Amino acid sequence: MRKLPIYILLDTSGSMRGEPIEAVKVGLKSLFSGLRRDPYALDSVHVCIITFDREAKILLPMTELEKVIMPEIPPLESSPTNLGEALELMCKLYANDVKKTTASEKGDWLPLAVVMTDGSPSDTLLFENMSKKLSAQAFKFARIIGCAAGPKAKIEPLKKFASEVVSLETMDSTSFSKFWQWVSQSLTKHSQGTDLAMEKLPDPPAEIRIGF
Amino acid sequence: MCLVDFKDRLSNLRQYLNQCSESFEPDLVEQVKNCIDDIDSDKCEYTEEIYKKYAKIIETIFFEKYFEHKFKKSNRKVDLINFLTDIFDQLSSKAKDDDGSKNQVVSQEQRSKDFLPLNNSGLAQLSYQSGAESPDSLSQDSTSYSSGCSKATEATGQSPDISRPDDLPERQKTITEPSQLPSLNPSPKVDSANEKASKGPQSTSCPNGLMVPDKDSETPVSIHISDDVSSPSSSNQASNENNSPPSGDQPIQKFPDSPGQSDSENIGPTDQPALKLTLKLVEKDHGISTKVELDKLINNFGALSFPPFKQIDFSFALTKPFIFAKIESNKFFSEDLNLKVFWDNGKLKIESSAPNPYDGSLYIEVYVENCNNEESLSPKKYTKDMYIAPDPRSLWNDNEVEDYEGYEISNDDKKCKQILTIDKFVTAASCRGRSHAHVGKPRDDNFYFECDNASGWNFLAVADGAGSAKYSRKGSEIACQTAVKELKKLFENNKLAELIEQKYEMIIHWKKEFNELRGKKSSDQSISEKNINPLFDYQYRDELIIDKIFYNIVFSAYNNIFEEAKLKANTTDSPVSIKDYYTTLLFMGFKKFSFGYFFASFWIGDGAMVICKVNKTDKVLVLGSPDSGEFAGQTRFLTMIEEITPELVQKRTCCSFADDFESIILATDGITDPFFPSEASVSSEKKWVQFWDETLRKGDGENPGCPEIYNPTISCDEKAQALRKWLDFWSKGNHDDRTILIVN
Repeated sequence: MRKLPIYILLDTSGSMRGEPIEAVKVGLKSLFSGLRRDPYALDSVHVCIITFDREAKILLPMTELEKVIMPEIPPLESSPTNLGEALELMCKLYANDVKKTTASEKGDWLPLAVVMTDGSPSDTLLFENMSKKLSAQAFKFARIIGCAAGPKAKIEPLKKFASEVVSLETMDSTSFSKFWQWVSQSLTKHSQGTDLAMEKLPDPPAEIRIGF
Repeated sequence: MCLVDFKDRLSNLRQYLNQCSESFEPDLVEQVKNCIDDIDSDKCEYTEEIYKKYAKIIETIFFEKYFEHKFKKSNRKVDLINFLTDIFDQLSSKAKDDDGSKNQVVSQEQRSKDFLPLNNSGLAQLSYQSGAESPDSLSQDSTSYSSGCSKATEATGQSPDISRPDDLPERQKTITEPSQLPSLNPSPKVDSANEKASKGPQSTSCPNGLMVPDKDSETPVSIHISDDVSSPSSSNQASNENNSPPSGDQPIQKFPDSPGQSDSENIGPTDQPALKLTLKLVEKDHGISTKVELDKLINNFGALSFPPFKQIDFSFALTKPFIFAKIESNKFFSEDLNLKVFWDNGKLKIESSAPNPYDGSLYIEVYVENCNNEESLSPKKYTKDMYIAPDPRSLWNDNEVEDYEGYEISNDDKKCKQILTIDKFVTAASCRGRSHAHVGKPRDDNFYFECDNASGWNFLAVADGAGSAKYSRKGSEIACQTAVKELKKLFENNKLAELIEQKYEMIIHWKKEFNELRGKKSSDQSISEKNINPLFDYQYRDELIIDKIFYNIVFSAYNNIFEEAKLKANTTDSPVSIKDYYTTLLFMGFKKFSFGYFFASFWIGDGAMVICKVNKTDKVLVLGSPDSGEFAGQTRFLTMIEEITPELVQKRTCCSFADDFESIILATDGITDPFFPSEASVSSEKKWVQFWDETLRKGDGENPGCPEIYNPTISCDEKAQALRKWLDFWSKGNHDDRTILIVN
């Protein structure tokens, strides 16, 4: 069965405390809610959530959409933002999770990744390494959506590996919810399958500045 | 509170903003100030605009949901004033705190900590007074808040005496304790003096006999659970209607406007949750820490997620200190969702034989009776995510195509003709896949065939337009029709039949070699070794100029599409390229001669073309192999210019022989993906025999077969209908357009 793997990387460092992380939670919930109503997504989407602060952890291992139970995000502590580690973990998991077409098995759909962070990565060396690997398509993704959340967030680091970067002007819940809606739409478009490279994503809403 | 008083508060707020404006964003401050001016000026009407404006501001301090939740159903000025008042209250009391240190910055974290976001159902994450916080932050009870608002609506114009605690933390604790459920107690009196004095919940007397004591006391008072607990108020009834789960009838057009605003989360103004379970547990032993054990108990619930099975069986065991007492579930739980909940051997079970879909929260209230038969008065409250998956089949829509952009096509097609010369039928059917139907896109697959009774030649073609190519349905149509017409023309012009008859000796020799080489192979061998595969051997083909003919056909097909693209480009402003017409193509010409059948065919892209059960054996001739890439969704197309070289066309052309056969099958990947999930299986003769003998004939357990195809007495029309109907089968993950052409 062809699955559509989705990796969601969430920044859980101290700066995300309060409204940002709450909005992310609400957004994630609405993302799942929306996906669950889509027959395509129910058929193929599998989700994996990775949180990163001081270290990268698997909050939800790759799970079939209909079995996903939104896990609790533990309280945030003041900590660095080790995005590089998160990318590394994602690539490690990729090797196991994503199946390529072989003679005996049909391959999975090209996976998607959504990275949400509000600050610059702290582990710069590892981050540089991983960015290079990702942009060189060492691990093939249909799309990597980088989301720089909040006024402190920087787009530059995300541009290094993401195919699209969005920046939310303010971190309020409206923009977050619009962002998640936009992501949902692109996810379901993707699981509808295409013969060739990805169709153009639907246009992002106005609140989300495209950082390119 | 009157308007004058309110205006005072406004100026306080203005002042406060001035003081600590650096902790808010400057344009936010500007906005709030403008709003204040607006209200002050009294020139404005409390229009939708103003409310929206306030919403935006307050939203950045609280969450959109909080505001929406309060004011969804109400747009009364008085409500707004009360609501704002409270906010200003809290801000100004903060201002009082800050007065001591004017430079104190209210950090964002701190701010949001104080004003707790609600979870999706609009219910606060409540925590028990023991101070055990819910994972994220302090709690705030929405229920007590709305009663404040409804108070206001009751006393027309007169504002209630909303007590003002001296400092924020105190107030938090007060709000934490749900003093009363709105439905049980519509208009309590709040004694502000009492409020200040007690650190615990408000003590009030209520009509229903529900007394709420000081949280610390364990004075038992008989609790009277209103029978009403299972029937939500009428306004909630209305919202329950909204809670109806997504069904096949509702078009799933787009996602909701704000997070979590799925229908099931509409909670009416009385805050009665849609889905509620009330448990009464009896404590068995002395001295057990009730609070901790209960928390553990309910937290073991986790979030409930039920897959789309008929039977849900969810259970969790009670820990030792408790035994069961009583369970009640509200109407929505038992009737709308068809859930049954009961105790079974110390486990709480939730079961259903036919659950209705649901995506929202389950609200659980637990009353505990201790071993002295004293029952707790205020229940412990929990909110758990609950998700019951709908039958995914019900989620598929069937939408009309809005704009064919000049290339109209019917959503399905079916045809059946009898081939008189060989007493066989050719039946073909093609239908729009569910993925296209869901979004109102047209069918991209096509088929075409012609049986020339005069010459005895039969020409068959199927093609699959690429999903992402805008005009691919035209591409596949042109490809099929060109293939069949050119086959006919070129076979005639080159007198292929005569040539074959003339070279009889050679043909016999060829056929013999063919059979021998075929006989040497094991039945499941893959076609990759083309150089020794007799189907692709072109030693004798030259004599029949097969490759020249086929190159011309393929080239014509490509060219016709190219010309069409050019035409289209002239009629439209948007750029058009041949990429918009990407399609696969499988075609064949065959005829029965004195020595048996001769087949010549070409296959590019995915899908399959086979001749099943030749010469009364289980042997299957697989006339090519699907071209696909590393990941799902990649393939080669007719319309890729780099494929239209004599060499590459030759590689995909094959000639074959058979004395007889049970069937010829041409199919697009809408058929091969569900039944032949891998490249290897498409080449597997065994699998094809299984498909022909079992799946198509009798069904696969989940879907019926199409026995009509096998019945020579059935009319053409009926066969066509039956085959088309068979195309409606269900196969998880496979919702592509489906086309199949059968000769038998």
